[in-house]
Amino acid sequence: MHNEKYKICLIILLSVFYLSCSSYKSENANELFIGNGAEVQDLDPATVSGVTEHRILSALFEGLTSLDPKTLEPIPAVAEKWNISDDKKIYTFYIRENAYWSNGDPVVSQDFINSWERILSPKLSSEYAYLLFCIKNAKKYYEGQIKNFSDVGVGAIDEHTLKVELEYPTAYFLTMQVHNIWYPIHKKTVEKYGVINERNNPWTHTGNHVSNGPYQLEEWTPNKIIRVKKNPYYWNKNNVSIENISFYPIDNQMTEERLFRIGYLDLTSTIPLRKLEYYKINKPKSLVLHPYIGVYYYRINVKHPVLSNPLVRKALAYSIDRKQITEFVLKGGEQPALYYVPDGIGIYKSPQDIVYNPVYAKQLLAEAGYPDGKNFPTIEILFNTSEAHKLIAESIQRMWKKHLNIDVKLLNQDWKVYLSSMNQLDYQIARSAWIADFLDPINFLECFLSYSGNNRTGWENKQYDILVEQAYREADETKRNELMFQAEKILLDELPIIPIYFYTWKMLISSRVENFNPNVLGYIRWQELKIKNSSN
Amino acid sequence: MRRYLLRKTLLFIPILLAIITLTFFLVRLAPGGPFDRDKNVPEEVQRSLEKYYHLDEPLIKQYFRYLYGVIHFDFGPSFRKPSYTIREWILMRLPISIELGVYSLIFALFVGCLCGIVSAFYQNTWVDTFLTHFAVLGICIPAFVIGPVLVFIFALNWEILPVAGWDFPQQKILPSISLGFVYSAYITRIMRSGIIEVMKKDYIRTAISKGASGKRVLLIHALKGALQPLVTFLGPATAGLLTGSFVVETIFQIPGLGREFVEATFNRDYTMIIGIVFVYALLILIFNLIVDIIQGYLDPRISYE
Repeated sequence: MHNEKYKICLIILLSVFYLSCSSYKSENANELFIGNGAEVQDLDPATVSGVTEHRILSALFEGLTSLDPKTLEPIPAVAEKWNISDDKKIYTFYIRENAYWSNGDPVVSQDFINSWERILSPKLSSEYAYLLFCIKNAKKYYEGQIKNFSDVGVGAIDEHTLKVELEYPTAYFLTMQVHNIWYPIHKKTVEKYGVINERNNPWTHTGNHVSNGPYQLEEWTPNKIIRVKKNPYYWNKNNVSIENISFYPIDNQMTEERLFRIGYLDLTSTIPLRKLEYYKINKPKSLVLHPYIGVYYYRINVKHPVLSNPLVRKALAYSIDRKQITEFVLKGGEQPALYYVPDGIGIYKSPQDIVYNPVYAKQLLAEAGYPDGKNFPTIEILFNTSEAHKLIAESIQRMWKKHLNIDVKLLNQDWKVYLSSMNQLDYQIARSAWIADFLDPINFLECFLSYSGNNRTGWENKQYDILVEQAYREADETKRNELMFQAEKILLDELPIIPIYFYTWKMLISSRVENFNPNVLGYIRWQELKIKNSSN
Repeated sequence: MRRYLLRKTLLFIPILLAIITLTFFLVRLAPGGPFDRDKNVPEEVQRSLEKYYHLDEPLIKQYFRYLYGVIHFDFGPSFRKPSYTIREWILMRLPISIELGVYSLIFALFVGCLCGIVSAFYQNTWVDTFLTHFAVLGICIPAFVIGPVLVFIFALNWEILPVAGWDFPQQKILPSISLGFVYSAYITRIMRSGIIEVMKKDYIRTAISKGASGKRVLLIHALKGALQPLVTFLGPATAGLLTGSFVVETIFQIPGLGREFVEATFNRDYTMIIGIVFVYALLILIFNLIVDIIQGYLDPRISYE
């Protein structure tokens, strides 16, 4: 009796709720809904460093040049054309007369200079400031050796002509412009809400933000939504099809997938490992699996008494069946990494060196003084807590036991603890990865310069350093590729790292979205996307 | 009473100071810093970052700098969210956690009390056995199981409630139930045993002998006495609902403080961690004080002197 009443009450309550607002998604048919992973740190192009931020900033801002998502070739953006000097060290950009900020102010050369001066001011502590160090004297200015910014190699010839002088011919200078660190800023806006070169400035909040891209900020409610709307002053506004884009910070992959399944999201940031199979079989059209310029590898601490022997490292590398890992553990179309630099970066081809050859590996280990794994100490694989890392480590543990007869322990640590262990070389073998910041092999190779903060293996090789440094300065593309090829060959001979697989760009996309072009950079050009039947 | 309140409130100060001090030094003991990341920044950038946030100063100086800020209710800037201060961030997200906590509490009290009373009223019948098993089950199943199960049934299968979010009333139903479920199970148990205990008391026997009906005795006379253990439980339970919402907030994508707390810990966002711990500590202290006061009203035998 009591229960019956309660049941009726509950049914009435639920139906009232349900009827009161049957649609909880915005009615706007020409709006895109995006799952964007973790909450952004900020919407200031100078102080953020992640992929999640870049996705939104590339809708809000536009640099001098942009990239064609299909070919990844530089295309005109704020600059309608540019000249490059013969020594490839001086770039002259001609800024469009009809480029405007979202408040109607014209975009001028000084806006770029203001932004770069701000980034190179140590007080702002921009984490990607070093990408600007290719500009002449930029590093010296950052380090305080030069006090006057006019000595840095950027200058406005007039309002619409910008000259950039580089320290060395930087082959990737134009393609790098798509990175948020190169975007201009509206100085007046930044100064209105705080000190120009200080953090903790609320100019990025709802109502304050001014940008120059195809979209402008409409709402930023942290941990809830970032909604952008078409920028009425954008120079190419007639070719921007979608009116609004809503970015939702959803860090739980399972929740994101559920929201996609009920049609709430059009695009996700990723897809959970265990849902891959379902989409492959039932909804292959919703699944995007595209090669991505990222490499997953095992770092080796070469200061370790046993692992310091290159023969041992080689034996370890040659006894991993990468295909088994990509096909049976990851299942997301990942490619086995037989070299370090991923494919798809211009015409650069890596030396193909590491193959799966357990017999040879066994031989190498015997040569190193451990026939059939005798007297080989137990080694440890360190990884940060994650299901996939654990599965991969377990497979490799089994392979090394089977082929080399050595014992491996697994150790997982919380993210920051793991980073700290790696920085202090307090590990033996550690899972690691590199996702490119810009489209050039040098971005991968420079990690293992002996003085690089990203080396974290204790490995150093003079010849390698010289080759990479020469590649920085070489203007001729063929010669430069050859230098990088030689450097990578050294890396693959010495193997301070064991490449395992190349990443894929994994995400879900609804059939509503048209004109989407996946590419190795994971770059989405929002202004090109269209929504099916968006005319109503 | 007033003296008691004053004394209790003054006690907050040393307690909060101790909590801040402990948290301040503990978070710094954890390996890794706020600016350690997958891609290391060059040394010069790292140095200027540390300088900006005063991390290059001796720890003790940092500590006093922080304390000075706290006295002025300034918890510093966030290391991870450069455009917000900790105070802004907490003020933005705490109300959401409180809202979720209140709904869950209402759910837990409603279901818990109802089941508890029914269970006591029909003591040792099949209804009682059923509710007892239900409660034990509820206590055992954590929110990270209940949440997805509810989503599966109501959102994905029947499509009558949304999967996640925190904008519309119907988005708030599933999270509130997921969070409040365990507490409703506890309350059922507490209510049941409370009523059964009280029913043995002399004043109940008097009421019955005067001819009051069973329901009247139960609802008017016994309930007040049975509420006492419940109120004692509600202090820590309310604090638990507010601070323990991390899992539910993550499953349902709710922009509350619980999620922020865990994220801040993973990110070693020192100022954020201490700020949130401070707020949580303050809330727990306040709730315990309120419980003390309510208990006095419910039981005249309790004295505040």
